[in-house]
Amino acid sequence: MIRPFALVIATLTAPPVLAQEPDHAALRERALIVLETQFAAFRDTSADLASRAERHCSKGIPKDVFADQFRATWLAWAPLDAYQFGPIEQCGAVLSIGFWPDKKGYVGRGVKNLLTLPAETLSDPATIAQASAAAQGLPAIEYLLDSDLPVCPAVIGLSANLRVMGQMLYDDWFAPDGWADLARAAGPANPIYLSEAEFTKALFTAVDFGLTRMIDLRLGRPLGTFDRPMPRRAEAHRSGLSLDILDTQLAELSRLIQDGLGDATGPKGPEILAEFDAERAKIDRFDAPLDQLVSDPIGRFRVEGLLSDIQVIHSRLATDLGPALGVKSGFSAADGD
Amino acid sequence: MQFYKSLCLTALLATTASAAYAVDRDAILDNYANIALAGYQDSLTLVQKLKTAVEALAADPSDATLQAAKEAWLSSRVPYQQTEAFRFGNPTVDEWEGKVNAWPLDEGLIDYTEGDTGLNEENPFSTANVIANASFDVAGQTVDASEITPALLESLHELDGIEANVATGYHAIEFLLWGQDLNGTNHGAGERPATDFDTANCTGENCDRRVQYLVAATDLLITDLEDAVANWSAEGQGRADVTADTTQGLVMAFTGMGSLSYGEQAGERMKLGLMLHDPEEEHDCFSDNTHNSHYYDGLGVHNVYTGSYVRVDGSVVSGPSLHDLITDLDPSVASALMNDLNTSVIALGNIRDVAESGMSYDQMIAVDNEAGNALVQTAIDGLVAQTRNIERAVALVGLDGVTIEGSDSLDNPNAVFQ
Repeated sequence: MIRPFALVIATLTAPPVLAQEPDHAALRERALIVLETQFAAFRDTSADLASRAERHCSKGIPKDVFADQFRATWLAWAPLDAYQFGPIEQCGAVLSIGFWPDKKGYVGRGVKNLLTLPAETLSDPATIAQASAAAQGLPAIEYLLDSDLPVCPAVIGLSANLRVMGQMLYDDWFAPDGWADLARAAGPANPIYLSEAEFTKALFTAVDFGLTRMIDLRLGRPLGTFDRPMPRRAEAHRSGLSLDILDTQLAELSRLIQDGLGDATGPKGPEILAEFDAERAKIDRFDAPLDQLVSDPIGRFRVEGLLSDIQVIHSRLATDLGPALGVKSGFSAADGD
Repeated sequence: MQFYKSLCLTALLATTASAAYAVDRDAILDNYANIALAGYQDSLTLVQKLKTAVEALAADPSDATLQAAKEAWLSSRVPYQQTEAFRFGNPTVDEWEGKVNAWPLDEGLIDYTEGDTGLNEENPFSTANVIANASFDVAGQTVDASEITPALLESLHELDGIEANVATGYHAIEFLLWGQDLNGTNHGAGERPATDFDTANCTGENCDRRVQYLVAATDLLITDLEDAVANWSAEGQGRADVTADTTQGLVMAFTGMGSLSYGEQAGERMKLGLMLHDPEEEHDCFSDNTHNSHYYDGLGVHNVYTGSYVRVDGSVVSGPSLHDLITDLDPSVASALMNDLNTSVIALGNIRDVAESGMSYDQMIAVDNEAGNALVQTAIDGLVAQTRNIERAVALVGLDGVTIEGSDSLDNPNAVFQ
């Protein structure tokens, strides 16, 4: 799924940006189209997941068919992980949908605690929503699928809770008077965005944050050190989705830059997009899951190469992209430990 | 008619009218570094008192000496937590901090734990129990732990690259003094008996080694805090870093405020625990002192912005502040940020008040405690909100800084983006 380089150039070859502020309102409208597509994809895949969970538990479809949709749902969630502001932040959705990193085995403990509840309550999403965040989301379903524990009926409630979350996040963003309208009403009286540029800053921070999460956590944590790789720290290592998540995130961040930020990215925009494509091509050539790669001397060399290339892209945000957009990255959830 | 001018009133006005300070950026940073220095000096003083209490406990283990040591630990947290606002903006502090305040920890590395409650399937050393084992293997190598010294603890810290292997610092000492809190989200902290330190009537086994560990960890904390004091003294690297480039220094100060408020406190320390409803995810989980930890973090951010810190002896370090600067640049951002910080400190104070009235922080985050959950969420919301105005303040300082360095942007602020 690598876009031809020429197409990227064609889309973004704009006259060099002179001393003018980008058209933040136009940028916002373009970006909201991208975000709406991404939030709608998660809403729809999680709804399908919920119906497949019911069919699986009533013996209608085999576990594999459910598991396929589970993977699709995680990949639909993957790009949203960068948008840790607005509705996702207010719902704590990053923790309840994609709890990770799990530094103290909370997922396993949470799922086991969940299964001590009466079986008849487990298919109710309200039961799940009351549980530990670590036991609510995709990693909890992954843990169940990978274990000898009974998948049903818990997976019905877990999947239904994701459907509820998917719908809620979409509505909170895009229903009338949602976060998108809030962004559209940027100005001195707005509770969040005092100017149009502040929403651009939020998007730019999201790209920065998404790349930071890849560098520090998604690649950095499993790499550990040469003497002590940490394969079990790879996100979604139980389902082997680690690299697919990274690839999807690179693709969707690239889409936000290309289609959303668009010509506001300035003369360096096409180069940055080409680097995203190059990293995706590297991931495509990997011949093993991330947890295996980091444990193998040659494999980790390649993963380290990917990591340092993503660091280069990340540094170009501050030097090339931010100045073109007229914003700097703000604070993000990556600023803590 | 002439108004009578009271001297008391004059003094009052002088202390409250902070905007009366001239906005001298270098002076703001000097005051910032002075507050850091005072905070670490106070932290050191109170950990030295903790050491005295620990020695008394070791010499004569009793409920009274254990209680005195716990109280000394609790006091020592008051100034230290306020220094956390210096952590993220200052590389020297961030690098050092893990030695003294690392959290969360797998306490089974240090000492006995109940049943499998200390077990972390992600950490092979989560039940290594250094106090009970004079030697153990790490990656095929035998570690000689026959004598528990500060050097041994330093070598065990983050053992095998795993952050939860916390062998040193405030929380290791906290665990030794209180023991595990086995009350879940019910009321009550850890209940380690004083006889765990009594070599004559030992409970929990290896009392001599437990005392060794406690003394070594306290000594090491003193050494580390001495380093922090040196870091902010006249020739210290921390002070040099923040005063080398004025604009950069100001951005560092705001970065510390914003990163602590948002990613660390609102996120890692509060939202995570709230959403897991897990008492293990509270910051001072053995002592149930989390409400104070959070409150003094919030107050520390407030101190940095207002350029004022009340020391443990009651004296005040204050001077030209970031608030003065932002007031000068954009009074509406300055007052909005001031209002945000006050709101957060009050929200964190509400948590503290409720905790001190008998509902501890771990009870507040329990799954069925609607009022407690809301109290914590309100403080999180306040911390998130203040971060937005901190960002605006950073933008004001950064832009203005480019201008004073003589760029071509005096007439066209947008030019600095090119």
